[in-house]
Amino acid sequence: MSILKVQGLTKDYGKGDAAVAALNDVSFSVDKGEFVAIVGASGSGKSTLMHLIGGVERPTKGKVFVDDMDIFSLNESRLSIFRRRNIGLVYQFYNLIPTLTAEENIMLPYLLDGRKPDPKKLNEILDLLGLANRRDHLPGELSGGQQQRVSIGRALINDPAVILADEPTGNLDSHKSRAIMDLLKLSNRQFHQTLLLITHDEKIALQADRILTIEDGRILRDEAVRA
Amino acid sequence: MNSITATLAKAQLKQNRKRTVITMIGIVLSVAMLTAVCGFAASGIDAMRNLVGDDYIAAYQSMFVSMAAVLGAIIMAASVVVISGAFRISASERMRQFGILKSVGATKRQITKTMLYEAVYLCAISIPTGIVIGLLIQWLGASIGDLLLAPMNKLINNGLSMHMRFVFSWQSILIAILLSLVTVMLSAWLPARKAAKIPAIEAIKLTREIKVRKTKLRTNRLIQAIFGFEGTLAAKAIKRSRRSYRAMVTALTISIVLFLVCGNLNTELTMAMNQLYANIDANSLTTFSSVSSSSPYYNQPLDADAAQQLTDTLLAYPDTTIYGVGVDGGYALDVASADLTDTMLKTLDEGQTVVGAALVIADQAHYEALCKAAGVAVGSNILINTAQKTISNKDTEFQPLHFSGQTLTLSNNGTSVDITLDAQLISAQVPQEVFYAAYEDIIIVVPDCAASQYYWFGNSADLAGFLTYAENTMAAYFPLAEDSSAYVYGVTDITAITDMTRSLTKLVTIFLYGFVIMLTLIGLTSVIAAISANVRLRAREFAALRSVGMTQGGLRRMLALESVMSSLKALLYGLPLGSIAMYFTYRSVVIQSEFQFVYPWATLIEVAAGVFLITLITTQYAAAKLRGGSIIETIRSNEGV
Repeated sequence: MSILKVQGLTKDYGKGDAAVAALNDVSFSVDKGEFVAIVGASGSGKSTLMHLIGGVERPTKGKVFVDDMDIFSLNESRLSIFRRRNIGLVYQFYNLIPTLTAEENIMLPYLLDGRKPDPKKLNEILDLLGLANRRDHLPGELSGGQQQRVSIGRALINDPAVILADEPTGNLDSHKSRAIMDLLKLSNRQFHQTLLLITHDEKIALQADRILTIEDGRILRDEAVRA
Repeated sequence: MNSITATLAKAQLKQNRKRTVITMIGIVLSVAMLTAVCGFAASGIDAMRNLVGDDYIAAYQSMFVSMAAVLGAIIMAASVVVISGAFRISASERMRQFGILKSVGATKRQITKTMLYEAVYLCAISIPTGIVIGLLIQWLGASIGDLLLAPMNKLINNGLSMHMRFVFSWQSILIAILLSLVTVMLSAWLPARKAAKIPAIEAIKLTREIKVRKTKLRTNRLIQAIFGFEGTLAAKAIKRSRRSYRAMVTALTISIVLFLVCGNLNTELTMAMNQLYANIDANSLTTFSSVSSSSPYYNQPLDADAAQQLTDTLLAYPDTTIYGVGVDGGYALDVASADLTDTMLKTLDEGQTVVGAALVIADQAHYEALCKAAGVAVGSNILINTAQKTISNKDTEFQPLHFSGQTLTLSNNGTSVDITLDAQLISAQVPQEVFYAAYEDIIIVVPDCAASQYYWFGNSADLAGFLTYAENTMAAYFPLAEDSSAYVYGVTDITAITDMTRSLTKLVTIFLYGFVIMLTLIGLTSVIAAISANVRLRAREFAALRSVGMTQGGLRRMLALESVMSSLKALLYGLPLGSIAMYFTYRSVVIQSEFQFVYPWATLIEVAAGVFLITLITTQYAAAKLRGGSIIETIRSNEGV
């Protein structure tokens, strides 16, 4: 059962002769609970793919189905609401709101919905992330690794259909990278989360179930990783 | 209220305390001004109601309301420009934050809402504060106004008096609150709508890089030559971040225009007020008039002897000088067109040769002085060959007649008199008192005539005593005048009139400048906000410049040049606009008083100096704040402020 379907996704930047295809007719699907790594050199189009799946950018051509919903058929505000309920995003630069506490940052998708998460669930996530005693800290008072854990918590809080992680360890040292990867894998196992991870690091990619290699805006290889 | 949008708004306000305070000051000032304007309208209506009563108040009411509406509209427009500038800075600082919010699923409406909540929080504190300050201004203004009205009340002295009181009108406060709310919410909504439109990807893709617009930035050789490399960088910075400078340039431009218009109005007003007795050195004026037809007893003129008798009596008062001058005016003079100068002919209708004329007598001493000035014997007729007229909107002094010792025939109501001219004098040789008395084109000083009006300009060390003395002297000479309702004689304290005109001028000046200064203060808050935000946003750029070896001094010079250039820009717009506005206000307001347009150069220089000072101080202050930061940390910092 596929939770994410990408059909003929194309994205051009610029117009006419100056047009550059960042993504060229990309199609694939991901099953629920799968952990997929997307690898490619910088400029290969992997970040564009991520932005399109996350619905923060619109494609030139093609469709993206998340949980059988054609996300680009939604208008902007419907898409925003769909995103906060169904997609979790983790960025290289954490992208936390500097004026909100760790706990508030994690709850953000709920707060935007005007709801409060189940406290049990919140505590479970805070414990899992090792942030229980940091919940009232502002991002500026946290280390890089802690900030990234907060952003993972934000992605996990609403049980999204897909978590999209764009170079989540790109800004961290190897020790902290491993901790973050363990955390992502744990969430993949424990909550049966579907996880799409973008990286240029082969070693990190090998921890996934499946690796999609992208080059010049096309899928070069799509292969399962043998455990 | 516990929604995430409200929380974010509150957090933003706390985060950037200094800008919050500056924005609040801006709002407080504009609310205060709106309150004061509404309050002054109420005070004005109240003052007029006391003067004219309920029956006639309607016209004045609408006059005050429409005046308040015009001022209110100016204040609101200026406030929206300025306050929305502050909100735009707040929005641009949080672009990335909005991007993050959008990527985790915030809708456009939610982004707009956080900004509006910011405005609501600011209003909650600023509007009540502004109302209180506005009421204080209104109270202060009404008190000062009342104080300045006192000389006028003293002069009128007929039971009617005008008083300005502080009026607490809840209607006007309600209107002020509503207008303030509209102003602030509109100011927040304009940039919020724009911020919400930015796609999430734009905001998060780049870390904190400021997007440089792709427009070609040509290096201006002239700037490079004059200001050096720092100048070029400054010019590029201004061109690049045109938006953030625009609010500042707009605010400065508006202030310049208002100051110039105000300066001009004030000059014209002072001139108009001063002209009344400006050139006459006297502190009292005693008058006689026989023109009144309802005064049968004294419907007869004074001759030179009678007038001299009164002059001598008045002169008997210690430490007193008197200039007495009497007029027998209203004559028509038909002259041969060859005797009239071209300028005089131009002021007459085609083919007309009849001009107005008056005979003038002076007291003995001053008549002799005039004869001596003209170089003729006492007893001569002297032509004052100077007339004043407004010719094509300009005050012109000119010679009406070609003097040739001719004999003129003056006629009035069927009687006529022949006068042979012995000499002529022009205005510089003639005391202003003569011109005050007679306004006809042709004035002839004669040894004797039947003066229907006589003026004694007195200058007395003991003014109060002299006023009583003159009053008694006149009452003794015209004993029956008391009973008749006619105006036969009068004693006026000229200093009281000049006092009144001076305090009226002061009143208008205070209100005018008060208004402009308040508006400028509102604008100033935006200038400070714009400059300091700009410097903060460019912290990385500055750090990069310093890392490649620009000194702190060079950085300061660059910022100083930026401020000089934006000041120049504001002056470039402000001065011509201000001059045009000035001319139009002059045309619409001052034209009746026959004054020439005077360019207020002093105001202009003050304004220019002020503009440079303001921008320089703020940039240098902002630059000083940057000094501490480590170069590398600023360059490497990725996270939000």
